[in-house]
Amino acid sequence: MNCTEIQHLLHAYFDNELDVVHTIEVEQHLAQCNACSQDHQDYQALRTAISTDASRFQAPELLQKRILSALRKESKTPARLFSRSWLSIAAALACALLAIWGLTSLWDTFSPTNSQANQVLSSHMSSLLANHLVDVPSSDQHTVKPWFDGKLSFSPAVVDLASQGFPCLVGDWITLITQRLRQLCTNTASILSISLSGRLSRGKGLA
Amino acid sequence: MQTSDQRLRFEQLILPHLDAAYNLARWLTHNDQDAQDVVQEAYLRAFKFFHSFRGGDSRSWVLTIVRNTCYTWLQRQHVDEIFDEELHDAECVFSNPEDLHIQRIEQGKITEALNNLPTEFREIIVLREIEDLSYKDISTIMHIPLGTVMSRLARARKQLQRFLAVQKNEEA
Repeated sequence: MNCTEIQHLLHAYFDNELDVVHTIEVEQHLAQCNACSQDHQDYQALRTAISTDASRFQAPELLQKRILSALRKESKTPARLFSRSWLSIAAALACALLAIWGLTSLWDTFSPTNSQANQVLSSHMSSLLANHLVDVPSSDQHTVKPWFDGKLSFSPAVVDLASQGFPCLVGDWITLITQRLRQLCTNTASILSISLSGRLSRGKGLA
Repeated sequence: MQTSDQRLRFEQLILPHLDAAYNLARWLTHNDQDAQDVVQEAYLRAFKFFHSFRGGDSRSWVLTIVRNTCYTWLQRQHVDEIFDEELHDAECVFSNPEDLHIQRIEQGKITEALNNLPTEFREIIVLREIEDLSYKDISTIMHIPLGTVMSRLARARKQLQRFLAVQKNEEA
């Protein structure tokens, strides 16, 4: 081996980290080469200087006491009722339950067995098919009612919306409808009122 | 939460390395109070993660945590140097090898020279020469491959010799 290769191994040799075969090779080289041998002696001088001069700092006694007391305090601390990991698990469970509930609701909505909900949804969807929300901008009930019948497969009934804080914003014809529907049963009122509130909030009228 | 059994085990296994931990922190932070704070923080962190200690060399395990805590502290102090191994090596290449032959190193000079080394060189010298750790342990603690341990030690020693030679020349 030449000097460059020996230099590469010299530190590992010096630190006793070299395998036997390479150790012998390095020793043979050092016996013949003054430059590499000098380097090796320099590292030895450096090591001696460090071991005699550079301090190995001792931990102050107070530090050990401080750590011991902190450790004891730490291990006495009662477990928190809701640790961070438990909170994460709870949050994950809550999300999962919400997702299941949401899916179940959707399933119920689309389920063929739930015919009433299905009817309401399909009617509502069909009412949205038109590009504009107000199909019949007329206050004539003879115009409005046939249109309404064509859009919905059943007759939804509403409570008096105006008296409940939903004043009519888009024309007399809504009043006419609501007056007419008011006389009918009220168990589906919320469905229509949801539709109404959605449209009214955009100020576009009833579809 | 750690039980008192775990605390006793921790005290038996990890606490005996307090001197090694403090020594490393003391060389890296350069002062007693900061070293104490860093070691205490590191020990509490070690205790917190003691359940992850799967046996093996407890000294390397705790020194790894102490070292990481030291570097976090150094970063907070904004004293972290941008360490470029090749750059530091280049400084050695251009120095005259003859100057590096130190026959006798005066007392006190080595500490000064060590304190002037870049942190990564200083810590590897401390771990190897003062703590007498193997390349494998150093590799674990410093998160570097074995080959890098060897080459970094070589560079650190050269740089140390260079500092000492400069000091010697200044005195001459």
